[in-house]
Amino acid sequence: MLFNSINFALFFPIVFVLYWFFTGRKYKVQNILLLVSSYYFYGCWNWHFLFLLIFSTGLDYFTGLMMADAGSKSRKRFWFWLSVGVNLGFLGVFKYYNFFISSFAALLSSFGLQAHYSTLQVILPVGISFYTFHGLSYVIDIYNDRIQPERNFVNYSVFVCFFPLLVAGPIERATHLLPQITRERTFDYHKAVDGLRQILWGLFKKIVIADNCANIVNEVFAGYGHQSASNLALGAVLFAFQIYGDFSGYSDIALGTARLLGIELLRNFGFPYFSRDIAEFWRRWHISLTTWFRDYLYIPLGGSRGSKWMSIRNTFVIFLVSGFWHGANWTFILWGAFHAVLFLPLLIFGRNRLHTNTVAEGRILPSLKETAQMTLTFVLVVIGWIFFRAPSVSVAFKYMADLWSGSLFTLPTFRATTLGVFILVMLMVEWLQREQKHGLASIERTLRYRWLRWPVYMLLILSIIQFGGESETFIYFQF
Amino acid sequence: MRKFLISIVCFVFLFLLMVVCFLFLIPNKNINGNSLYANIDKHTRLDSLPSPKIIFVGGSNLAYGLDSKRIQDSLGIPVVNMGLHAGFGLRFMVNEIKPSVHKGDIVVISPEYHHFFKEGMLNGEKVLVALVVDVDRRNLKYLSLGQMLHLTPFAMKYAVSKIAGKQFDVMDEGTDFYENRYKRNSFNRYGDENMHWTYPNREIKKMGMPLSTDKVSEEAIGLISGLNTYVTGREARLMVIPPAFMNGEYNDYKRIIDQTSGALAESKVPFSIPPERFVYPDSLFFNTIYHLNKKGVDDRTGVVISMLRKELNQH
Repeated sequence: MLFNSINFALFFPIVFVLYWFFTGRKYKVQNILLLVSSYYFYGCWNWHFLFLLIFSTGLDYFTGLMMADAGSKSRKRFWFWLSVGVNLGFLGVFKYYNFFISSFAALLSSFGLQAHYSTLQVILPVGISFYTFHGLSYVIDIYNDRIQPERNFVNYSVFVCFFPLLVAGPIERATHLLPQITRERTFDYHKAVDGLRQILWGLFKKIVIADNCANIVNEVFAGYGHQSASNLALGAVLFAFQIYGDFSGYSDIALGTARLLGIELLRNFGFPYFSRDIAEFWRRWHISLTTWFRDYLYIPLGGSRGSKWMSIRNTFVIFLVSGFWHGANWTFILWGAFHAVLFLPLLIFGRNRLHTNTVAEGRILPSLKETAQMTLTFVLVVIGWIFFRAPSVSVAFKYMADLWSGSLFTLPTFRATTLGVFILVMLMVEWLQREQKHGLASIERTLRYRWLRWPVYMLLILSIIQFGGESETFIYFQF
Repeated sequence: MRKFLISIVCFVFLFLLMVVCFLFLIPNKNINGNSLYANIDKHTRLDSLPSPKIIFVGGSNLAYGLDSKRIQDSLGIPVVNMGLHAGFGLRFMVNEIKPSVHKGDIVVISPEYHHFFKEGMLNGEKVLVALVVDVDRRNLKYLSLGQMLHLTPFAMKYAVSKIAGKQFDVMDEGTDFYENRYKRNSFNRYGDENMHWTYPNREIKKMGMPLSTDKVSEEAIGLISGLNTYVTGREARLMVIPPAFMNGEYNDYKRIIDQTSGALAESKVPFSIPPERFVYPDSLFFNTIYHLNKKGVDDRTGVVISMLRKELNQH
């Protein structure tokens, strides 16, 4: 079930009404409802994989309890590694099996050895990377005595399977979400209205921006060998907006939906295209994944506590793993490596935390220097996206090689005027809201009266209806 | 919570009111020249013909693929060609003729292959909204509740088109291919679009192909199977014929055609003519993969006459 579908438009109001009116507002009953709804939501894709989800949830729940009750350190370690091993095993089989097998065979053949191998026709269960990481963070936190295990299976299952975040995040932490699940939720009018606004803005970004960009991007990448350089450049830039509109749009809808149910999820995007360097970009892009890797991989590896060399190694590892997390393809690993290379100079010269505030704070317009910094960062990010979007490494390199030709300065053959206007509107709105949580967060302060705000909402809805592109599934579902 | 719900209800109400106002109050500047208005003429003929009669049901493959006058003259039975636009959806096409089926009638249905694979082609698209809102509101009675729900986003889209004065584009979507545009008066009294018979072929407009993962819609097959039951119950007969199809595209569509054919046969409503019989050289197509030119129309009509004659002789 997609957030941008009629099915969800019917499903969610039913859940909302049942949740607030037919549960006596008792959190235990609400949790049962959330769990059933989440299973239904997930089962709409492929109900067979529900068993995998339930097994994965049950495993982490059980090993969490066993770790807490283990009498010795070695028993605790046993349960910990069992959970980590099985979780990563599932991920390995469903997501990476074919990649490892074919890469290994390619390696052997480069030494002149022929390997007979067979790949599996494995269907990737939607959201497996997300719910596996939920479970892993829970188990690791218990192992490190940061949290106590949740003894109620329903509560724990809701933490893993809560439908707004189940298939594409944000990747939640037990320390943040579990306490909200195990206490009474109260309905807050202002938060609920803000949730609706966030959903609306998310839908706008997904349906108007991302889906329309997708039409051109797909065509450019499908026929990259025959496109002019200006078309290739347009395709790459539009992909940057497509993936942003798609993923941040999804996150906005997820956060808004959860807020309507009285639950606050972790923020996932902080207007990343207004970043002044790559380090800032990574503090603002897919925040829940970046911080996950920071807390559960970078810091355990030693983080920046050791020598400079250690920090560089750890940073490289994080970026490569982050790339690999996105998919079983060398393109993603290369994308991660590319960002690592961009990040390292900042780390080496101690400038990676130079921009921790919001750009042009307290001002309407950025300075020239800030504008140049943002533009340069955006261009670098766009180059990185070519690796991300290309079906193979050779295509990515060919795409980039073809970019540098005289035809770069010709007019693209794709007409994207309306789309350009919408992208501009999105950028302007988000620029004005860059210190807020989402694009419509402070509209109540700007437009104080309802009769002024409602036409804006209606205009947004009408533009979604009129200019919405062909419905594309969310890109991050494949991860 | 109360304040929240009241706000939501008010907002939704105002929004829907606005959409309904746009839909129904903005006058249709197109008056009655557009081809969609041929639907009125087709219904007038359908209702006026005595039984037994032959009713052709389908999309534009029929409007652009039959010579109904020749069929009527050859068989001595009155004919009406209801085919107009595939975007009306199979459900609407089936529902709009049901009340007019009587004892002795022969219903010949010829859906486009897309009807079996695309949700919009089953339940209708924006053009169906244009038909029921601006052309003839009596058509509303042929829509089911589920279908209305499915059409809601299209209705909103059409409402916005009306604000922008672009409803004409909706009706003419993809059909602005010759000088006189796509007009009501380009149809003859039997329901065939015959104006194009005198025009040279145009550039072929390709259609979005169903995805390789798409499966034949059980609902679409069920609709035809249900129509068969309905028609038989009224002591009439149903025949299913394939649309005309362009040879140049045949290989790409073979899987789709075979799947459709197989699913219909399995549901005991098989094609009465093998799909391959209506696969014609590209030179016999006017402007889309389903629209025949006059030469193509003549051949297809001949085949249909033979089929119907055989059917009539058997009974």
